[in-house]
Amino acid sequence: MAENKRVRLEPHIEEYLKSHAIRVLDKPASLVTSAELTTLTNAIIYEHKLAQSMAKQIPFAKLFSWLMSWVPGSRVVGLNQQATDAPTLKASVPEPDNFEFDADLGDLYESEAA
Amino acid sequence: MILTQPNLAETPQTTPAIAVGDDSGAGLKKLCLGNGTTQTRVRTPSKVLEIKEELHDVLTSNEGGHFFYHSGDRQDLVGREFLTGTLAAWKAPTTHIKLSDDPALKAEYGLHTLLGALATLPYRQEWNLHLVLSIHNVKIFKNLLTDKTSGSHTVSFNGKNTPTSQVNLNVSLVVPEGAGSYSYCVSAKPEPLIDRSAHAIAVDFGTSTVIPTVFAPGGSIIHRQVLEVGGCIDLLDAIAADPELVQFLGTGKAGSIEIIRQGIESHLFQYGTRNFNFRHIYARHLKPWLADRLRLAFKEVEEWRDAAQSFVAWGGGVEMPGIASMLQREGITPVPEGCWANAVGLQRMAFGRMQRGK
Repeated sequence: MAENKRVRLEPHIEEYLKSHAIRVLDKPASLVTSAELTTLTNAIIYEHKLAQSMAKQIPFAKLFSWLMSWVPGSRVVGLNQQATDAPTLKASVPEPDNFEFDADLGDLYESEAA
Repeated sequence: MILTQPNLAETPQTTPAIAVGDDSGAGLKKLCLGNGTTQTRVRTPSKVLEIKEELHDVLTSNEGGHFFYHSGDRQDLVGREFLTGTLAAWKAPTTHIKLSDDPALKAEYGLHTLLGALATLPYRQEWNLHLVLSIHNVKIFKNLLTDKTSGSHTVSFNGKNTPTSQVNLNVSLVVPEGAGSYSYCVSAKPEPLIDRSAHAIAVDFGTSTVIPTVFAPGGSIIHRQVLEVGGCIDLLDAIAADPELVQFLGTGKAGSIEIIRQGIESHLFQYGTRNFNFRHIYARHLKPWLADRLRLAFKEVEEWRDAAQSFVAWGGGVEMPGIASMLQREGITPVPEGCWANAVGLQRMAFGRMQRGK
């Protein structure tokens, strides 16, 4: 059952969701309300879910290997190689703390008190 | 060749300034000095007592200090001696000054509690502090608090004739209470507790007060209202006056608030050294205490609830056993280290301002 839950949308995700407003809601992005943003979110995530389940059913790796085997002189490259090519995770180094916002907040209260 | 250590006392302000957040609560003073791994935090009850006669012995505690004011910008304090925090309560359990008695006392005794807090730290010949302070009413108390705190003060800590310390205080800014907590929540890692791009609601569960505050995107305070009901002290009072505890004590009087506070903070609920556990009494009073305050707080912030993306609770009350889970059930995020959030956030502001030369 649907339930109200608060989530924070990053601005670029919100922009992405609104870019589908015309297709899904037949409404320009600028007129999308918060409630409609919920509808958009549900619709887009559902589409992504469907797409992902379809992608799992199609053996892309085998298909790609088969196609590559027809290319003369080519070395067969499996898609799985991507995993080994992926950059290794660096040891997590904590980001240096940034105090810009704190100083800005101080300036804000200073100007409000003046 | 003999090398000698330069005499720092003759060259004032040679030690680097420390960014400090100073949260003068009605119940507890919280001081946060420096950042990173060298950060030091001091918490003392907001209590002050002037000593008029010689002390039998030097009193020391990590929750209270003792200072003698030799000279400095507070001419009215010259030659006077004070105990703060638990030391004030030890020396004069009933007659010491409690800052919770009158909010105006926060400005009057802000310097006293600050010096008392420094007295709990290892001795330094010189302290240079770059301060951001918070006060419940900036408009009324900003200038008074700044005037009474800033400047140079030569004091002896933990005795009248101990080596002197030169305390140089630069008040960079005075902000409303809660401003530091907002800063703390926005900078929380790994995820901010408050989304600074949207409205936010916070409820401060302090010792004496409960204060709902509404922040606009960016941190401006839109609405702030001290509830008419009291803060944690009301819960402690209810436990102290509980018939079961009174009957156990057998004197006909209510129990000790301080002993109950210690029992709650330790999560053991033991009444001092007595063979009495008050966990069930705490559990009995906790729910109605919180429910009443939340109901009033919700009513106060009703207009902004739908727009707010963050709803948090901070203050020492949030750290009491059982509170965090009850708040979460109401959709409110309990701020970890709720007691320290404001002081730590003020310290961040002080450091940010120091970097900008303000």
